[in-house]
Amino acid sequence: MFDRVESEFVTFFNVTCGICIILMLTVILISTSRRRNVSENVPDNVVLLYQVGRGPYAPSSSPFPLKLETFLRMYKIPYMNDHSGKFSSKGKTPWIKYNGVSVADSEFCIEFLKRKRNIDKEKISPFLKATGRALQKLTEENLYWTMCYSMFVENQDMIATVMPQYRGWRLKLLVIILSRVLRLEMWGHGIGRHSTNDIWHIGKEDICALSNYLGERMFFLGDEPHEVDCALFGMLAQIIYHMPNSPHEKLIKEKHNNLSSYCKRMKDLYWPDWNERCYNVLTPKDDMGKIYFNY
Amino acid sequence: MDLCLLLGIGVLAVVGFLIKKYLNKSVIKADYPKDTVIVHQLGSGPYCPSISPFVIKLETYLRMNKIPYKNVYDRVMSSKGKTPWIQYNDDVIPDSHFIIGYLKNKFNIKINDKLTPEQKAVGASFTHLVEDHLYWGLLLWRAVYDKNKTIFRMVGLNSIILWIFERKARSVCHAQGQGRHTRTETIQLIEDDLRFISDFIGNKKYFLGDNPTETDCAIFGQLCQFVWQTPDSPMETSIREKYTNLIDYCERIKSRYWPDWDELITRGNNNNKK
Repeated sequence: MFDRVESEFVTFFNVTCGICIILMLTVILISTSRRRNVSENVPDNVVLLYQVGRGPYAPSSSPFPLKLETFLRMYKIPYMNDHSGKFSSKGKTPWIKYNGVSVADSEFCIEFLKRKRNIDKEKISPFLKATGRALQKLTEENLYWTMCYSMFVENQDMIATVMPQYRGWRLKLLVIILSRVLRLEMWGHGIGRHSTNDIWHIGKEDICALSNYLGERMFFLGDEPHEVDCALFGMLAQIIYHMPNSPHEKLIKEKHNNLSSYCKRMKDLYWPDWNERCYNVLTPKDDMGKIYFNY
Repeated sequence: MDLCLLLGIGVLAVVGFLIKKYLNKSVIKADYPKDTVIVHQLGSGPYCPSISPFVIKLETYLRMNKIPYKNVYDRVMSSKGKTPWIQYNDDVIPDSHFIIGYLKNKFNIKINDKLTPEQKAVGASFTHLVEDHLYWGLLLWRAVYDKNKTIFRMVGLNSIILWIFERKARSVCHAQGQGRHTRTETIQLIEDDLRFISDFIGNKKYFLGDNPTETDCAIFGQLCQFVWQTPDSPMETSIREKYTNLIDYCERIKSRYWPDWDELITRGNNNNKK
């Protein structure tokens, strides 16, 4: 009889905890999605870029929105931001809408816009273009996961750095959810099966490879920036601005400073308003609804 | 009655798990020859010595550097739940990337020594392109988008196993990211990667020049799957029509390091399967 009472109590406790977690998640989702969205006010031929909002020390706390927005600026494509945090049909962000057509995934967005806007094929050889592609995949499909591990699994205090708007119980809940989701994703990818030291070893090799390839060049494929620089800058900027004192950041500062110089070059070229597009600096400005390059 | 059935299934599952764990332990302790790399892998493929690109990569590396090795087709997974993995005397190493790092040190291999840091960076980048991007396209094609599941049927997997495997592949690929794209988008991504690889190889003999390097093992491991082991696929058609230098490249490596290739494939005849 006592076993039955105890098991019913345990069931009651588990269900209550489950309901509390669901309620807390709902509160978080509602409070973070209260931002107004601008989708009903987008003119024709203006890209509506959906992203999750500005980062504290870089215009985004994720490499992919920064990559996509840098691409839009590189080719002066008229665009407007929607920071409401709405996710794409594939459950990710960033994504775009252009003349009523939705496109998910930053790479597909870039391919789509190149076709729609008749952006001339870059004047580089197929050989060099292929090299750029490989560098991009090293960064986005491999280095990226080592950064996620460092930020969200190994040293969870760093989440507060990139998301200072979360404090107290909301931060604790976010840390629990993010680290569990990322562990699952990294396990599926394969990299999550390695030890902490092995994951860092992989990340270190990737950073060394990028630095060795860049060498003394101005940009990765030569003296002029190319599309692939958007992807590489998007990723490296996260290390430099949003991963202070991480092994990645220390390695770049101490041994591969050419990557820091490269990021500064890209930042000066395409983000003269950088300080206004970060929310943890002196002069943040909300650019929801502002149209860039609307000539 | 239902509770007894559930309990019975639970007990069987636990017993099966314990037996597997015991067998895995006995695999590691088996009496293997000394100073020989023991490669634990799944088994022969129908048109390539393995359906796993990582096995082909590892074996090509062993052959390229003339490291004595022996294959064990035990289908036992590593401590990280994957294959291939190796034993060398008392050392057990999972994951082809770390295995190659281990072998480089153990056997003092200098095959990459003449490369510049920039060439090594390019080699590493393309290795990641094929292993962390193209590979997922291969998995999605074989497990999800190929309606006939040709290659998996040819290695003897039945419909129930294939159904389970498809579900698992969808889940893993969704977590990785590429599984969120449509069939058309996945095929486009594969085609793009093959085009970039073809453009980079051009007329070169090997990936980074006139001499083979470690990168060739990884690239060949993945490419041979598309050249010979994705029958009736859009990618196979693209390679034969547009990227014929990939066929030449694979044939070159196969002739140099795999003279016994035809003896190691089953052609779908499971009696020849190891």
